[in-house]
Amino acid sequence: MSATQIIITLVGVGLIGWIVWYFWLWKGEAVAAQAGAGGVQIVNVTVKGGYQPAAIVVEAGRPVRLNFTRREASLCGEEVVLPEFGRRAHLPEDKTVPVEVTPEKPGEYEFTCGMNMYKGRLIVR
Amino acid sequence: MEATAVRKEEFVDPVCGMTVDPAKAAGVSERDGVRYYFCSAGCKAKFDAGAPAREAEGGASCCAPSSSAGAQEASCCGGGAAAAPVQLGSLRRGPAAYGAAAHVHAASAHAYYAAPPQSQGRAAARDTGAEEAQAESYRTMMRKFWFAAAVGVPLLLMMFAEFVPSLRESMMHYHRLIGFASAVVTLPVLAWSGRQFFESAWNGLRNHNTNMDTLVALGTGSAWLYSVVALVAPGLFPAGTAGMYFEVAVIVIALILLGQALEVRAKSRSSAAIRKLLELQAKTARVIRDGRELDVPVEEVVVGDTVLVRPGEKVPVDGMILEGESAIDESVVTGESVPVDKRAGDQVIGSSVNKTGAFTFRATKVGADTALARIVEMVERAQSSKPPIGRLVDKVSSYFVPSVMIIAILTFLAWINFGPEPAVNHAVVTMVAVLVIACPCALGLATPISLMVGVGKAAEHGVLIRNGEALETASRLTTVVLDKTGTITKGRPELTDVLPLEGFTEEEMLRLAAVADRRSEHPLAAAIVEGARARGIELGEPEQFEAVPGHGVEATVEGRRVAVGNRKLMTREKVSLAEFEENAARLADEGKTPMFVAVDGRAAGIIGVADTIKEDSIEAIRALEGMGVEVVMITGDNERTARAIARQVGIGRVLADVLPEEKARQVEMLQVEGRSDKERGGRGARLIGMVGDGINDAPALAQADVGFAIGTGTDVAIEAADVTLVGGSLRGVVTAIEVSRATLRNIKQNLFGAFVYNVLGIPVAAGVLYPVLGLLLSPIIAGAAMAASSITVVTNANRLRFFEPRRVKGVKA
Repeated sequence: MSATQIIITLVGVGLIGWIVWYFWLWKGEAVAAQAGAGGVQIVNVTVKGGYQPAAIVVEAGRPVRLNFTRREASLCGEEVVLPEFGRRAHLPEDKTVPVEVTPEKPGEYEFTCGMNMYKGRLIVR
Repeated sequence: MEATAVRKEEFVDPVCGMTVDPAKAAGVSERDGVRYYFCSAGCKAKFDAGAPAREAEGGASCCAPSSSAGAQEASCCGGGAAAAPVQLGSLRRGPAAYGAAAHVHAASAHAYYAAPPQSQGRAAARDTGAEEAQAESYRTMMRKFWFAAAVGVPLLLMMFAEFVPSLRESMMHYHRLIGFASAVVTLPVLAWSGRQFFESAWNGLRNHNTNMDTLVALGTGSAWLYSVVALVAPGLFPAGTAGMYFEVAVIVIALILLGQALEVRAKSRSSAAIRKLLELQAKTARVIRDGRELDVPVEEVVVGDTVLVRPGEKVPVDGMILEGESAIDESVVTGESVPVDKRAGDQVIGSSVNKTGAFTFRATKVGADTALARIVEMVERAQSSKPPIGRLVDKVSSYFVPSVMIIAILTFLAWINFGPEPAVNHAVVTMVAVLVIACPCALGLATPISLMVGVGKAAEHGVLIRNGEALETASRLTTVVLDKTGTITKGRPELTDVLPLEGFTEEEMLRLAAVADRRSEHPLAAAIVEGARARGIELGEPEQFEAVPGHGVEATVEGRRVAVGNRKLMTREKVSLAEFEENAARLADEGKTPMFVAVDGRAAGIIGVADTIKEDSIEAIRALEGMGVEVVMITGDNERTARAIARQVGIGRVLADVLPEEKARQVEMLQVEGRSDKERGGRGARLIGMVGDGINDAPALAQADVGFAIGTGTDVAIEAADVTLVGGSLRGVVTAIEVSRATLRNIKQNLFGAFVYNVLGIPVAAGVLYPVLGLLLSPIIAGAAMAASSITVVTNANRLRFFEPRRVKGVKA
């Protein structure tokens, strides 16, 4: 093994480590919902290469309105699905689409894009 | 209209149709004892000046000048819907209700999206919008594809030219020049055609997210960058390894764009089923208000309106016939193509087609409450649910892209360290090929797209499947338990036998009995009257009539004393039963109820009445058994009657004398039986489907692995059921199981294809075949394979659209 090969190998192994940490181990910070009129918990979610915020803390038993705005041309995020609530919404680019659900029980509910590549969590307390 | 805005008690501005919260109303007026609330002073002024309610249809002019832009204005001006005069408190809107002037075209498939006001137009308009957007993104992708192809193909040809010895010489001479030219012309392709991949990859990266675009961007980006470095500083690489892969980057982008464009097109086709349902809606309705006929958009029909439907027209909303009769084709909702005869008092379903006569009906359900709207909503919910089979895929796909990136790096390292010369070239080519060939799309699409097509297809045939789990379980059912009354049979008695004794003709005895029964409200009496009518017997009125509760009726008909009823009535009338016995026993054996007839105190004969079997029950039961599903009948009837019916329809196993509340327990016992059977090494766990009506049988339906509710008419989307059979026919059970099996088979094919593709494709791209066959996959081939794989999945799912229930004849195509 030449020195170049050793360096390249080390860089490669380092990259692998970084991928594991960055994509799998990293956990984003959860954002709490804002209280809106009539007790609705409102969260604005930007869809751009993922959901921002991707973790949302809400209270159980009260309606939650997720205002999704897709800010990218990529087709990945064009559909958002909340499987536990049986909701699916089409997100046209740059338009805000509110999706209302009322989580009755505490727990974690996922929302994902149509192909399950983007993931967000609704943390119900 | 903000979603919260309809939560409180609200009224409709009679002038502009806008929703008004009484607490925030700009004004209040009273007319004819009715209180009206207004959105603005302008509306109130108009109304007070004598404007009739609904005068200012679409009256944007009423908008208060002060109303701010955005939602408020949109809901005020955008409405333009009619508001009927409001009795105090009569037009309150619950959270989900869309009243008279709702801007929401409530039957829209998207009704529950709570879309912003500007998009709450008519369903048709919105669907066209979605379609238009889809068409536009298809066109854009195709333009980008052509641009990438126009640059890529000549470059590719030049690369081939290097293999022609005579050209090779001169090519080598201009090698660097060609290289620079390639770099320059391919850059715009990456920047424009490939922009979406890079952008999306970058956006994902910032969110700790990966997607398919990440792989495409990494693959094409690294090919291009490597080529640039090799061009500018060939000295960095061992001699002869500074290859260039500009054409690879560009062609891969072109191929993937083409794949995505075709995918968009195919996907729009697979969601067509649901859109088709919406297109079936009537656009306008002819309502009668204040004695005048008015053509109004279907959105403006309110509950209580009298609606006129002429032959050939569509029934606009759900309701009950007031006057007239007709044959109505309800296939849109029930999947049953034979028109149903309806007369006054019968329910009609919105979107069904009136075939023969004109009639008026009272609207009972409009907007989001109509059967069709609820079907569409239910189907959409089912389409977005996940069958258990999809969960494994979810696990895989969430680790997929980073894993592929890691494999790509390992591939690169393996070639650099252990590969033959030119190692660097091989390392780059294989890494790019790995990145490009991996297709998480095919995996991610495999389940949802088949589910979408399958559930939609079932709905077309009047079978509403609640979710993916129900669909998956239905495909594996081993046993189907059928409730007798109302499921196998029609659930209402019909005249079956007329057995007169000597001295009476059939016609005479039946006429006397039917006339005597005419005023009775008992279902058995109704069956006799109906049966006599069906035989063309003219029925007069009884001169005298008395209902004897628990016994039957006594009446004077044509001057004769007629008694029709059960055994107890005959005893009471002191009529000898001796002559009846033989026939009565035979009828009971056949599961029929004997009704005794006595005339002037003398036995006249027996009329047999029975709950008759639905025309297609036998066929359906045979089909189920043909599919390897065991059929069991459950009933509260006694063993004798139950056996009689079971014999007629060909069911071997009967659970008789089951009290309604015990049905769930019986279903559970069947489930347990299956489990213990498995422990003994038998056929294994049983999955039980229970078919019954959604109300009385609800506990049993819930206990079963799959509950099928037999629906009739408008009571679709029954809560307790996993599957609702809108048509009310047992054939629906067959269709449900067939569709489920076909869909599951399709999903498995897709998953198998996608798994195999990736599991084989990635190692081949990494070059595992090189040591054996000397085979290296060009990244261009990898790109084509990747595009083909997702198209294959979508195309395979679309094959389901051609699904037809084969085993049962007569179901509408």
